[in-house]
Amino acid sequence: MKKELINDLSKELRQAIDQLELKEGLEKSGIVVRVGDGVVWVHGLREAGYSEVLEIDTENGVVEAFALNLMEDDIGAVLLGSDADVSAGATVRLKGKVLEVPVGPELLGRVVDPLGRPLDGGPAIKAKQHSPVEREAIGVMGRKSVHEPLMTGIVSIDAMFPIGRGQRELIIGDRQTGKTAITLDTMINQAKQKTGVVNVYIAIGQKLSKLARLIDRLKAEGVMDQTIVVATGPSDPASLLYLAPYTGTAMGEYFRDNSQHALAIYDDLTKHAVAYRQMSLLLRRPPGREAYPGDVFYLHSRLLERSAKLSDELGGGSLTALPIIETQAGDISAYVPTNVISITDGQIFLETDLFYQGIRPAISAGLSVSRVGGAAQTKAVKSVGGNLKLGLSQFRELASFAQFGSDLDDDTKNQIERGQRLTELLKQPQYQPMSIWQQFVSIHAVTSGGFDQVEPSRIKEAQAALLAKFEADQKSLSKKIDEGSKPTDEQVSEINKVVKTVAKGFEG
Amino acid sequence: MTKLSRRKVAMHVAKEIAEGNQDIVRQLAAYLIQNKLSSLVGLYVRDIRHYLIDLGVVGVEIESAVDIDDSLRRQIEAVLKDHYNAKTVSVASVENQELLGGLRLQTADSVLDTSLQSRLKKLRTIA
Repeated sequence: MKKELINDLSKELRQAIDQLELKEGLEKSGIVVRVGDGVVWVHGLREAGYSEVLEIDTENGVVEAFALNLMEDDIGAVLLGSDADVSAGATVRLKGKVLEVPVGPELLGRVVDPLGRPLDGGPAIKAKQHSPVEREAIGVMGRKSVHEPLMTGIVSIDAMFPIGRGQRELIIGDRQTGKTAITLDTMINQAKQKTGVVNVYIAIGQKLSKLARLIDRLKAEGVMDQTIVVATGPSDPASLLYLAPYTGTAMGEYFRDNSQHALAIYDDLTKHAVAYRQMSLLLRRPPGREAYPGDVFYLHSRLLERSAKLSDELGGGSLTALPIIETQAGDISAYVPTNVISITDGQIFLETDLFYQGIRPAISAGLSVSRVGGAAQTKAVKSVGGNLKLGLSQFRELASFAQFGSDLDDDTKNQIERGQRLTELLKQPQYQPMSIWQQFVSIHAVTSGGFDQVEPSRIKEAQAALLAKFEADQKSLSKKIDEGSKPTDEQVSEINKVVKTVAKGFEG
Repeated sequence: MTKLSRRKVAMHVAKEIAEGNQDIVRQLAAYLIQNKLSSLVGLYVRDIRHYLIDLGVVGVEIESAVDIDDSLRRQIEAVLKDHYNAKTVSVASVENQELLGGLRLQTADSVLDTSLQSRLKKLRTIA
């Protein structure tokens, strides 16, 4: 019986060899020479391309890696799984393609790892399309200047540092200054204002407890349905931390390329640079400034360059980027912060001092800037927010002078008081993004002098009362302002009336 | 004496072997011992086999669960000769019952694994 079986097998084998298509069956192979710290050195595979996927045979199945160092005698690759199973002498095969991840609407509402595998315990992702993790950025002719607003719902940002769809706006600050909170509010605002913008939140080496809280909040606010979370924790291999932003971008690009709008949040690129430094040092690339490799600028520039507003011929979609950088003791002149500042179209700088003074979001009016967002700002907000930044900066300057003496003329006193009211007004609780009309009415009430008789300490109260009254009595007007165009003189006088009525109740 | 790169040494040895100079193997052994490179002998052999393929000499190892007969061996030789456009194909066969069934061909730069063992491993990875 056994002999017959062997004969049958042998016959089948002969037939298989006769029909053998060697091009398909014979795979290029090499062997593992050294392995350790998530990095593997492979001998052979002379045909391997940069960033090509390698499959390493182990006792417990196949472990993937991708080639990063192509050298004369061997290649250095970074493992995408655990190195515990990989041993020297193991066979390595070329997969023949670069790393690809699933993209498309099937990913909405899901939490995935940088390889597109679900982490949320949900069913397998059956995406119709896959896209390479690394893609070239769209060329000059395929782009259009940024002109549509991406409302964050945060008054101080939308009024002073407006962000446009397709823009790259850096959020920079020390630890615990509210960087993630700003991006979270922005994501919530997209759902509240029904903008249709898809959020891609990319957690790079973030504490999993923080990530879990963030996902819970997104679910509670009803934002998760239009959000994709690409998650990596501090215990993940450096290779996954390195890949995460590219994966998230590939997922966002799907929507951009299909005439939709997406927002990619990279939380944070400092950890990304650190992961890349680790990989580079283990791959024995020469270290440069702060031990980062020479191409750490290119690492981030090629990533952020993929965020763009597409031309009408390409569908007019957009991918907006909000990269986050964590500074040490407010030092924005360190290597990675200066790199990313120079790559992006502006930055929102968060100050620890302001944060602990209770001014939240702790945005520094002097150091923050939006280079292209002005063209994208809604006319309504622009009409009241035009002088806000200047006024606030002047107030801070005057306020510091005022500390030295109390003999101030009435104009200066008024300016300081208005500045105090503005500062109070710009304080905004978390998870409460504001719509266009709410922003317009609030800023107008202070800048027009309508709230001049209100004590600065009662500004938030007065603002809440004003918005409540406006919402109850002026529904059609608020809808009109929400459309974004500059309110007419009649509409403004209507608003002034409401402001006057509300202010009376708060006069000190 | 400047250290020669492994690639250059392997190319030279492969060329000599292809021309029939059997003494080169002894010279290589002496070179490796003299330069304290004997631990890298495996890599040198693989490199030499790589360059031999470029010179039309293909070495192949066949692992199979059961011993393969001469006709099957000749068939494999012919297929490889055609694939690599090689002048000569030298076959070494090994019986390896861990493969469970099928066979595994390995040249210096490629592998063809049709064994049941590898298919089961793939299934395990998918599962």
